[in-house]
Amino acid sequence: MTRVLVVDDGPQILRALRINLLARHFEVAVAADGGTAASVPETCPRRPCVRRGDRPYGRRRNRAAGAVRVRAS
Amino acid sequence: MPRGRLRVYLGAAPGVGKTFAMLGEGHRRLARGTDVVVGLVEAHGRPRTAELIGGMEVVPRRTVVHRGTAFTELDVDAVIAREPRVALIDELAHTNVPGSRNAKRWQDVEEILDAGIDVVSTVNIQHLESLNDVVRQITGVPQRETVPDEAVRRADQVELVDMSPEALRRRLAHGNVYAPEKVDAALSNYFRVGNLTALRELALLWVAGKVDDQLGRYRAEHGIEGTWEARERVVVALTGGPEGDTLIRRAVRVAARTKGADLLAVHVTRADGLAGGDPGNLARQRVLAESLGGTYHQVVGDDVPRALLDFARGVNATQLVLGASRRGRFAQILSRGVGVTTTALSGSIDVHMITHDEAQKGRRPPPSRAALTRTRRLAGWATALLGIPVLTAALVPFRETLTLPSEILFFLLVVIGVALIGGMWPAVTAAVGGSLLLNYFFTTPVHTLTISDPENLFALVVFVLVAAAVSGIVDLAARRTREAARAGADAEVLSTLAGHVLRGESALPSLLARLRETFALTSVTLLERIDVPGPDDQSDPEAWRIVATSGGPPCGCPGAADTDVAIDGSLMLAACGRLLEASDRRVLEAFAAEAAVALRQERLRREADLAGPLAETDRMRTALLAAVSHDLRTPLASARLAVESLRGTEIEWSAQDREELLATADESLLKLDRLVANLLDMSRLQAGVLGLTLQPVALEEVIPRSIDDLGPLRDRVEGDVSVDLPEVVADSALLERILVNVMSNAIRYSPAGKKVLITASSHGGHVEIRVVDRGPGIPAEAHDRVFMPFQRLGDRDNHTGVGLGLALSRGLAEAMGGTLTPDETPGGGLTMILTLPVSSRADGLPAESLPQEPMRFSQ
Repeated sequence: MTRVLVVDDGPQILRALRINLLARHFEVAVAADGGTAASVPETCPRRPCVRRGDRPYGRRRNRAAGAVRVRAS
Repeated sequence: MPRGRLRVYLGAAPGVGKTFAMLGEGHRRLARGTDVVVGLVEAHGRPRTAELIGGMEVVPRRTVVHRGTAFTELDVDAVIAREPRVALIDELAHTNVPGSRNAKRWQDVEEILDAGIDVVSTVNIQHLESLNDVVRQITGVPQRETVPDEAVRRADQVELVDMSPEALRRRLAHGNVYAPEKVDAALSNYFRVGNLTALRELALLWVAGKVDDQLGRYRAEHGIEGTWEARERVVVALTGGPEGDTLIRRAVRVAARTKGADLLAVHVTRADGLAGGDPGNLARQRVLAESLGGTYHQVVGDDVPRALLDFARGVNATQLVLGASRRGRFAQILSRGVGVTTTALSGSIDVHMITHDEAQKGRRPPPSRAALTRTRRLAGWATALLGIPVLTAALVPFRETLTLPSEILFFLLVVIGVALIGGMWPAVTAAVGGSLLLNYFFTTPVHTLTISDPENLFALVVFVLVAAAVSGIVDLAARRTREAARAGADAEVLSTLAGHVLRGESALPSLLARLRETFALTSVTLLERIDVPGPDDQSDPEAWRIVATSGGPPCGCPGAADTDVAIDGSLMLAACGRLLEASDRRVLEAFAAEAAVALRQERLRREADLAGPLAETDRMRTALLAAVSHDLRTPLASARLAVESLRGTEIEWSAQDREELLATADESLLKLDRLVANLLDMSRLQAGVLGLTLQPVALEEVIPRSIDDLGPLRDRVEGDVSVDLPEVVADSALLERILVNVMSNAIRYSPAGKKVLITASSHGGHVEIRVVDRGPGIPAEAHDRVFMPFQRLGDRDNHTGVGLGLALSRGLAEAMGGTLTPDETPGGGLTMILTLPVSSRADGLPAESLPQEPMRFSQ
C-alpha cells in the first residue's frame, strides 16, 4: 500500500484530497503545515516526489505548505 | 619560486587568429631554444592550426567521464610535472567538465603560473565577465563561459589580435574558420558586420583601459606626479558677452568628439569687480552649459590669460576654447589681447580660437553715463563761467605786483575747483577761458592776444595741460566711485538672490517679491507663452499665461510691461511700475534666469509629488493582483476538486464522503463570496461611492449574528455583550462585515484552544466593541501597518484572506463615523477596538442628521 502525506494550509483542499485519495486506496495522512508533517514520525517523508507550487508569491514561506509527498512503503 | 608570467592574446571574435598568434609565438620561442609545450590547444578542425601544433610537444590531456561521455581536459598536474618554461593553453574562459578540480580553466592556469611556469593563453572579448551584458545586447547570444576581468587584467601582457570585420568575414567565407556547412549561418548571425564592429570596439576599448592601468602602474612605480592627460577636458572661457552661447555650443562639439569628455565653462572676474561681464548673459550661459552636461565656474584674477590657464591646468584641461577678440584691429595693435597671450602661454593645452558674430566689432563702450549728477554739472559750469572772470577782475589791480606764475597758480586753483565740482568739461572750458584771459590781461603786451615772451607762452600751455589732466582725473575718479558703488549694490542684490535660491525657500513667489522690492516696482509677473510664437503676440494677453506674479495688478503680456526680459523661448519676465535703467536690467536678467530655474524646480517637484502616490497605487495594485490571484485560486481549486469528484463516475462515494465533499465546495464558495464582496467594497470605498444606510443598530443583535457568520469558526469566539448597551449609529450589514473580518483575523492569530473574546461597553457618546485575542500580538510601531491593504504582518504564512480585511474594516468604520484601533491585550495578544457613535435618537434627534456622505477612504 502506498502512503501519501498531504500538506496544505487550506482545510478544504486538504479534505477534498483526503477523500479522493482514500477512495483510490491510498493510505493518507494530512498536515496543515510543514512543522506538523515533520513532527509525526510515521508520516515523515524521506523525499518528496510531487510538489505543487501554486503560490504566486512568497516562495520563502511556502516551503512546507502546498506539497504533496508520496512515499512507497 | 617566482610566479610565472601570463600573456594573453585577446580577440574580438572567434576566428581572428588568436590561437594562431599564440602558436606562432610558441614556435618563435622554441626556435630561440626555450622549452615550450602545448598544454591544450583546440585545432577546431582548422588545418593550419593543426599543422602548427604538429611541430610542438603536446602534454597528454586528462580524460574525464561525465554522464557516460568522455571529455578531455587540460591536465594541470601533468603540465606542472613536465616543468616546461612556457605552456600554451587555449581558451582561458573554458568551463571544465564537472568533477574537475577547478570549475574554470583560468583557475587551472593560475595553478600553473603559481608553479613558476609562464603561460600564453587566449580569450575572446565576449567572455569577459564585465562585458557579458553588453555583448548579449549586441549579439543577442548569452555567453555562458566567462572569465573574471581581474584574471585577464592581472596578466603581465595582453595583446590584441585585431582584424577588420570585413577581413574576418572573408576568412570565414573561405572556410578558414568553420566547416563549410556552418559558414552561411555564421555569416548572417553572429558574424554580421555590425556585431563584429561593435565587438571590435569593445575589445579596443578594453585593451585601452588595460593600457591605462599599466600607464598608471608605471607612473606610480616611477613616482611621476605631473598630469599625463588621457581623458579629454574642454574648458570654454566666457567673457560675459553675447558670443558666449556660440562658444559653449562649439565647445560641446569639441568635447563630443571624444567619448566621456568633460566640459567646463569658466568666467574670469576682475579682482576689482569693475569691468565684469554682463550677469544676465552669464546666468543664461551658465544654464546653457549645465543643460549641455557641463559645469560652470567662476574665478577671480586680474590677469585674465594667466587666471584662465591656472584654472585650466588645475582641472587638467586638454583643450581651451576662446572667442576671437572682440576688439577692433587698431586696439589689437596696441596690445596682444587675451586670446593671443593665452595661446602663447598655453603650453600643452590646445587652444581653439572661435570666431563669432561679435568678433572685431569692437567692444561696445558701456552706455555713456555722466559721472556726476546734473546739479553738480550745472554748479561746475556756473563756477567756471563766473569764477574765471571774477578772478580776472580781482587780479587785474595787482597786475604790477604779482608775477605771471603766481597768477597762473591762482587760475589753476579755480580750474581744479571747477573740476572737483563740475567734472571734466566745465574744467576744460575754464582752463581754456582762463588761458585766454591770462593772455589778454596779464602777459605782455597786455590787452592783446599776442605773447612776446616765449616763456610765457610755454607757461600758458602747461597751465592748460595741467588743468585738463587734473579735471580728467577728477572726472575719472568720480566715475569709478559711482561704478564701484553700483557694482557693490549689484553684488549685494545678486548675493541676496543667490542665498535666497540656495536656501530653497518657496522659490518663485518670494523671488518675485524680492525683485519687486529691490527695484521699487508695482508688479512683477512671470509669463509663459501658451502657443508657438506669433507675429504680434507681444501685446496680446491671450497668448500669454501668468505663471507667477507679485504685487499689484499683473501685466497680462510683455507689451503692457514697462520692462520685459525674455528668459527663453517661452518664458518672459514683465515688470510694471517704472522703466528700469540699462544697468538695472543686468541684475534683472540674472533674476529672470533664476526665476526660470525656480519655476522649473517647482514643476519638477510637483511632478515628483504626483508620481509618488501613483507609484504607491501601482505598487498596491500589483500586490493586489498577486494576492488575489492566489486567494481566489485556492478556494476555487478546492471547490472544483470537490464538485469534479462528485460528478465523476469512476468512484462510488459513501453518503458521508458525499456530504463532506459538498461541505467542502460550500465552504470554499462561501470564502470566495466573502473575498469578492470585500474586494468590491474596498474598491467602492476607495472610489468614494460606498452607499451607507446609517441607522440605529442594536449591538446585542448584530454581534451574535456576526459570530454566526463565521461559519465553522464560530466555536472559537466567546461573546459577552450586555443588553443594556445603547444603540449605535451604523449600517448594520457593514458593521457585521467589520466584526466578521476583525474576528476572523483574531482567530487566525489565536493559539488553538484559546477563545477570542468579544465585548462591548459604552463610554460617553461612544460604544467600544473590543475583540480580544491571545495571539502573538503586534509591536506598537507596526500598528498602523496592519491596516494597509494586502499587508500581513510578518508576511510569513498565507492563511485565509489577502490581508484586505483589516484595511477594509478600518475604512468602513471611518465611513460610519467610527474608528478601528489596535491595542495590546494585557498579558499578550492583540485587542481591536471598534468605536462607534451612540445613536442620538435617545436625545430626540433624527438619525438622518448624521453624516450620510460616504467618506473617501485614504490610507
